[in-house]
Amino acid sequence: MAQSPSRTAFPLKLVRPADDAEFVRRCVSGERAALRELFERERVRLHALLFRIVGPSPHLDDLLQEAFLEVFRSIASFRGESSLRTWIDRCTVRVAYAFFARKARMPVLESLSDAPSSAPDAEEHALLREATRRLYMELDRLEPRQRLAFTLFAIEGRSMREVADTMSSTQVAARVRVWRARQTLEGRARKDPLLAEFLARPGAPLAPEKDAG
Amino acid sequence: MQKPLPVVVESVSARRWARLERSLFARWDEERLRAPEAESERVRQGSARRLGRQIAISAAVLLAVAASVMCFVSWRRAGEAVALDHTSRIATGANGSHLALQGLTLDVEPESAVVLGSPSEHGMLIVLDRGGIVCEVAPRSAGAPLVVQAGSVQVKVVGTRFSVTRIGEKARVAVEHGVVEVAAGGRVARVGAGEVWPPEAPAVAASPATTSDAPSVVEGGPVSDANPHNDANPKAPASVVARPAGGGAAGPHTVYGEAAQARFEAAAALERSDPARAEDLYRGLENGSGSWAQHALFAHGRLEAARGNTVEARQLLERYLTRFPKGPNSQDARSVLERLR
Repeated sequence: MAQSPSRTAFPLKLVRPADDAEFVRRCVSGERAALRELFERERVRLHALLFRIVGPSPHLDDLLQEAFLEVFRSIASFRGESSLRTWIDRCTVRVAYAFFARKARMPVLESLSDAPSSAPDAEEHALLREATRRLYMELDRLEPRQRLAFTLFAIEGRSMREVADTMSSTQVAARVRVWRARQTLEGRARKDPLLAEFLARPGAPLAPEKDAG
Repeated sequence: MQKPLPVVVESVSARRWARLERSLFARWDEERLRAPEAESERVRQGSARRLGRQIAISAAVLLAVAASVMCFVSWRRAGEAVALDHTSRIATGANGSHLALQGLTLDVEPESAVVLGSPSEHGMLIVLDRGGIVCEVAPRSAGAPLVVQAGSVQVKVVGTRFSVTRIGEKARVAVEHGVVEVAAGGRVARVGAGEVWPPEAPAVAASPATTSDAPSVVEGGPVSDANPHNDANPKAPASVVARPAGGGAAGPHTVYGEAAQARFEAAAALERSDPARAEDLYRGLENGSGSWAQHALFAHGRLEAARGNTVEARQLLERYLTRFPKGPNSQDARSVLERLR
């Protein structure tokens, strides 16, 4: 049977727990080289994670820095109960959540930056970009936790268990949040053919689901 | 598992990564430089908070000790009086109960239940759940009255002897000496020695038929406003006034309700001194179909139970439950029956 291609665009590097522990010890001690290594290791993955959660936003660079600062500040509290990567993801999700909460209190109009794509077809690329823009406009209107759960599940492509783990919630709560977000988006997509088409693409979250987690 | 949505992540140029990294570590260095200051500020605030907490805890401990000493001293001063530090519930069975508290003598009648509140400088509260009590209260200061709550009726007293009998959500108050204030339905009435509340209305054109042991009940007439039992409370016994026949003077079918009420009250008053006569009166009332019949039937059953006539009590209470399964005293009747079994 053919192996399904990995959802993650970046090769996963296996890190043994023992390495994690030593690496964390170096980071906690404030060793600059270790922190830089951490940044090098995780920057692309965290950027992608934040991009999928937040969408094309001028705040993305700032959020990425916030996420790393949060990791640097809190790494002393990492107890190795989960993998370092999962723990870093939790920090990042917390930063994103704080951003959404701030944004909800002080809504600001922002222009979405272009999202250059490697898609060969220019028209297809433009449509995809527009659909993405509309999707994130709708996601902006969701409750932050629903948005986080939905983006982690439906855009980041994580399993429901991983979503729950990253959001420090139960699987049931995560499932409910994804379901509610999906219901809301479905309702809005009925009035927006482009968004509807985007969401109905094969494998998209509104297409018939075989395994929710 | 399904494939994720095709959101294309923007690419980041090497120049942008470099800028990001520079900016990130500049912020981190700045934060670390400020960290010792922030840490010392946190320590300072923490110490101040700890000191404040210690002072607060010490003050609370001192206050608690002082309060305990004062309570102990006042308890010692109270001598041998029963101290009700907590709310107490007294429920009597076939026999009544007699209590002598500080400045209060309380007779709890058989098949009664009463809750005694803790006496304080603001007074003392007694809640009569069911049955009746006779209170004798030594003169108290006006600021610390004894209050008896019986259903919606409240009796406030500063020194007297009186009895309170609960009838559904209402109550009957009889004062032997002194004066009490009775509050019900937003009105306050002063009841003096030898008076009862609610006041017994004189029978209107009472005929021999109204006082016979087999009265003909006339129901559905206008309800008297003067009687405090006649509010919207469905549990309250309705007083019945005769309809004048042909618009003229009252005929042979005259007032029954008020006479029935008076007889019920007379029976209740006789329960202790002449229970046989009280039973006769109840028997005369309980065959009627008015609301006083309900009360009489229950009171009769309760009285028989109190006198130890178990078989009669059971028959009467079972009859009460058959006739008035949702009557105001049905719950009490069930609990008395349960006890008798």
